[in-house]
Amino acid sequence: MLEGIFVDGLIFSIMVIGVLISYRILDFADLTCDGSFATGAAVATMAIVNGTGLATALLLASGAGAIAGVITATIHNRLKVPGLLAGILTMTMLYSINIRILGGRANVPLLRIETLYTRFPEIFSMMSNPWALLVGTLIIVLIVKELIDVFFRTDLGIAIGALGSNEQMIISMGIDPKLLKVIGMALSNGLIALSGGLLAQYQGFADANLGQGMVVQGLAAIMIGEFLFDSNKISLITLRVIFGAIIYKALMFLGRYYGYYINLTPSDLKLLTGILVIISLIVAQTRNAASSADARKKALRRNKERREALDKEAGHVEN
Amino acid sequence: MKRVGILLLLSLVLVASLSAAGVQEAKSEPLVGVSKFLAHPALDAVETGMQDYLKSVGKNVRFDFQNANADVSASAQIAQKFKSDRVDMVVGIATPTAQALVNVFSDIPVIFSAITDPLGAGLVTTYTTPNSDNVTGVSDMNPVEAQIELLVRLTGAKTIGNIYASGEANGVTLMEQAKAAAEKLGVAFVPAAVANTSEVMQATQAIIGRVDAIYIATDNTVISALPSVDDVASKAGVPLMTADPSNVDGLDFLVAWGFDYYKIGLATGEIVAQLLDGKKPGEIGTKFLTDPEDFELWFNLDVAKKLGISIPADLLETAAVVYQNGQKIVK
Repeated sequence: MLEGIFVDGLIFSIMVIGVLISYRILDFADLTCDGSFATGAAVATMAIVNGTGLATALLLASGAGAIAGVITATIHNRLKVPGLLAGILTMTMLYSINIRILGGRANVPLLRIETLYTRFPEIFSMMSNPWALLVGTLIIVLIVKELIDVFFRTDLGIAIGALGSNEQMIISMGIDPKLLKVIGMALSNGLIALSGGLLAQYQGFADANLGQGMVVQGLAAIMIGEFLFDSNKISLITLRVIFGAIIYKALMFLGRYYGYYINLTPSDLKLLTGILVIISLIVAQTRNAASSADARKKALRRNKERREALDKEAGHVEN
Repeated sequence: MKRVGILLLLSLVLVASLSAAGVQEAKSEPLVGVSKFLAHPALDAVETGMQDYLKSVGKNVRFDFQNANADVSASAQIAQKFKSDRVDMVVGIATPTAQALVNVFSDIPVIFSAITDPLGAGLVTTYTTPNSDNVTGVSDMNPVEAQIELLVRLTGAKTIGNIYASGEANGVTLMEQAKAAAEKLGVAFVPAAVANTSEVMQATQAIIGRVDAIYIATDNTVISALPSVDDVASKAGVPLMTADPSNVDGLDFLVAWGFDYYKIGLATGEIVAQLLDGKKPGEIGTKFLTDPEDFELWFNLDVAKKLGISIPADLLETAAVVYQNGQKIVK
């Protein structure tokens, strides 16, 4: 239970932060994710199998993901194609590259070999096995979250954040939006690949088809997070993404667990993911509509008050 | 609205975590967790065969059937579910799900089924028994060499084409074996890789002009798209051999020779029964089906006639199923 929801959810949350950066912060519908997630798993696995050490393996994995992000952003920038298409192109190419990375094989096992997830119980030997895995993963996720929070408070990070909502403003400030997109996409896919590298170690293998359907799952987690609370503070946004990721995994786990009571078979889970996204969208939209109606009312009231105040002033002058 | 949402979700998670811990029903019959990678006729037949065997020997077990829907990242979650259910043993059907089970469980028996290359998949470290492993299972390694030999003998082909899924572990392994077998026989080998079922037709068209016969091994992707291979091959008048007879109904194949996956299921059920009787997984090791009884040879004589190929009488005698004049004759 602990592992199925929380460890899995925490590993997944790093990927969701990556999707958040492209989809929400940069406003770039990026499908590179499905490929770069598997790239991260493939690079980390091959690095571990070849004995580079675990930290190096994860660094290489995120580096490979970052390169994938740079490629997508460059295709988008140079060839002036929509981000969606650029992402699909990179994702498609990555499928072949991932198999190359895995040495021409589709699946490379990490069983009976030292990985981060066999090290955690040794490092935190005072805890039981599931808790050690949970604490180890939590530490990694918190470090990643903190770094992302700090980054988005720097000048560069703020500029990237502004780019998604108003590209024109960035241009008028004399910053090159193309460069910002490249940096943002590298960061996003670096995180996604890092998550893939962790998952490969956690589940014990890398597979060429690992990334399939990741974007949708990531979006579902982001939207569940947004359903939880409203905020425009980066530290709270990343926090709610982590919550969203865990809740998403929990819902999937519960679907497997109790689904049969309501005749839900395991093959219905993809439908469940889609419905979750739709529900979250509906809730967000009603909430937005409500808050904008609220804002309009407030604005009208303020206008009225101001006019009354002016009238009064005018009255005074006349008198 | 907002608060309600948070409360609802959090309480849902909490309730689930608590009740999952308390969901342990009274343990009367052993609980077996079955993790299948995707719904597929051959893999489904394994499940059925396993259940039928256990029923036939009077073993009462409860099953928990899970399916990863071909979503690789779901296989770890299924393994975790079994762990929190404290199942007595687990069965992994197809490579990724079996790997996730081996990764999670070291205390209870893990049984893999329908794995072409258990050593390459890292499921076992050795085929020799006894060993100290908690992993045992059934391999569906095909007699690739014998299959290629048969195809060459029937058709006299000088060049053999093969469509395989480069994204599937067993697809790559079987392609390499077929290539080696063809080289051994002095026959040229033309492989064409696909990434998904929609590419199968084009891959077949790409090589059909260069080959005298087509061999299809047991990879899930290409077998699922077998009708497209069949369509291209029959239009071009190229004989088609497949290693999976369970999917050829209604197709213009020449010969199908391979496992009856139901029998792999029976063999899996036999291992489950042995483990229930107290045998150690390491004593069972990896089982390979080598008995000719476990394979089925199917011929389509209508296609043979059209292509001008005569099937030797000794082979016809051993055939399990023959199609003639549009009729399916089960021997």
